[in-house]
Amino acid sequence: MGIAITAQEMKELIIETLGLEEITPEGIPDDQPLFAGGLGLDSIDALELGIALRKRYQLQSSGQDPASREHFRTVNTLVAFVAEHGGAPGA
Amino acid sequence: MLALRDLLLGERGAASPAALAGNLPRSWAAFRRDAGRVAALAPGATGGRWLLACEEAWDFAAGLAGLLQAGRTVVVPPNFLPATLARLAIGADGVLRALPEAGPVRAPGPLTGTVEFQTAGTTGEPKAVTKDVPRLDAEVAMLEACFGGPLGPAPVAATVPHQHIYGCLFRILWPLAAGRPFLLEACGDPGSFRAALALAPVLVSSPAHLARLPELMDLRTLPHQPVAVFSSGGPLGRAEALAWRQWLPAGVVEVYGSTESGGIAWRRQGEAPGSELWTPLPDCELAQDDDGALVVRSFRAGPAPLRMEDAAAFTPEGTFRLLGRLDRTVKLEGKRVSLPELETALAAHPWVARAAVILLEGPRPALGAAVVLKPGPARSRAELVAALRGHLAGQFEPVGLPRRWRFPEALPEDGRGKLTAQALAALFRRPGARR
Repeated sequence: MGIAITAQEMKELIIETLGLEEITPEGIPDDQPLFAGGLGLDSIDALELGIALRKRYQLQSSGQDPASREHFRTVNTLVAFVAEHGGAPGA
Repeated sequence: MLALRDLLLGERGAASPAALAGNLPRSWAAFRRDAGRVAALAPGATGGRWLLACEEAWDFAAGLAGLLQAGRTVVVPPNFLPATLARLAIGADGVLRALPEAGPVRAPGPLTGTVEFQTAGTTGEPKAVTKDVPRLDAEVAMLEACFGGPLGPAPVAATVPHQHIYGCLFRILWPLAAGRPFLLEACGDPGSFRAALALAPVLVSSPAHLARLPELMDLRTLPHQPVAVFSSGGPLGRAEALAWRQWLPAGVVEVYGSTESGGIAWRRQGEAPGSELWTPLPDCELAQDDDGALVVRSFRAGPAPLRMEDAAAFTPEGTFRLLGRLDRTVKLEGKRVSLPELETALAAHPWVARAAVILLEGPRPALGAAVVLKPGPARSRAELVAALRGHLAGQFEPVGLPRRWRFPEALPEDGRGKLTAQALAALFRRPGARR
C-alpha cells in the first residue's frame, strides 16, 4: 500500500475540504503545525480532514495508530502518511 | 450520590477512583488532598473572585472544589486563549493556573462558593452567568434522577471540553457526585475514542463529534459499546441520530438547555413517530412569549422566568419542536457565538471603520465578515485577512472565527439604513474581490 502525492495536492485537499477561501496553497507552510498555528484550524477540522483522506485515499483513519495526531501535524507528515498507508485515489 | 455541598465530606472509599488518567486511577484521597491545598491558598483573604485557568481536567476539578470550599466566586474562562485569560484576570483576586504541588492542606469542609461561567452575550459583550452550589446541585440531582439509573458505576468519557457548563456538569460535577470516575483526557479523535470505549463508558459528546466519528471509523467493528451517549450544544441531525441507533439500540440522549437555564428538555430520536419532539425535564415549567420564544421557569434557571432566544411550537401533550434562534447569536459546532461580540471586537481594530458578521449556511456553516476599512495605506487582501484574523484569534476560539471575508466600500444598508441578513449574505455569493 502507499500512494505518492505532492505537498501541493495535499494543500489543495486541505483548502477544498475545509473551505479555506482566503488561503492559497502557497500560504500553507510544508512543515509548520497545521492545528496550533496561523491557519486557525481546530479539532473539528482535523476530523473533517480525516474523513476526506479516508474517502479519497482509503485511509483507515489511523484509529489503531497511537501516533495519529503526529500524522496530522504538518503537510509533510500528512504526505508521508498517505505515502505509507494510502490506497488508490477516487472511490 | 453525594450532594455537591458535601463532595469533600461525604463517604467515599479513599482508594476508589475519582478519575482515570488513561487506565490509571486517581483516588478520592488524592482529589481531597489537592482540593484541600487549593482551599488553603490565601487563607487570610476570604471570598473574592478567583480565575480557574486550569486547562487540565484533574487540576480544573480539584481546583473548582477547593476554591468553592474557600467560598470563592470561581470564574471559569470560556477558553484558555491569552487575551481571554488576561481580560478575566483583571478584577480577579487570584488566578489558579495549576494545583500547588506542596503546602498546607485544609481539612475538608462544605462547598459554599459560586461559579461564574462565561458565554456569548446577545449584545457586543460576553456575558457572565453565576450559579451557586445549590443550583448546580439541583442540576446534578436532576440528571441523576432522570438518566442515572442505567449508568451504574461506569466511567465517564467526553469529547467536549470541561470549561463550558455542559462539560463541567456532565463530565466533572455529575460524575464526582455520583461516584463515577471521569476520564481526564477528552476523546474527540478516533484513536482516543477507541481507547475510551474499551472502558464501556458513559459518553458525553456533541453533534460535532457524533456526526463525524461514524464517518471516520466503522462503529460496528468496535469491540465495546458505551453504556449511554449524551449529546448537547445543538440538535443532532435525524440521520445521524438514526445511524447511532443502528449501533446502540438505546440511541443518543439529547439534552436541550443553555448556560443560563441549565437543562430544559430531552429527547431520544429514533424511528418512532414523535421521537423528534423535546420533553421538558420534570422540574421545568415552560411557556412562550408573544413572538414564540420559549420561556422557562425552574429553580435551576433562577428566580425570574427566563426567556430563551429559541422559538418553539408546542404539541397538546406539552412536548415541543424547536424552530430556530430569534437573536443574533448562532451555534457553530455546538459553540454559541455572538455576532455582535465579533463585530465589536473587529471594530476595535485600528484599520476598521465598521464590521458586520453573518452566518453563511452550507454543508459546513461558516462565518463571513464584511469589513469597511478606514482610509489608510493600501494593503493586500492577504495582509488584511491575516491581521484581522490574528486580532480575533487572541480572544475567540478557532471555531468562532470568520472563515470568509469581504471588504466593501460600505455595508449594504437599505434605504432606511437597515442592514439585512439577506443583503449581507449576497456579498458572499460573489467570489472575493482581489485587492
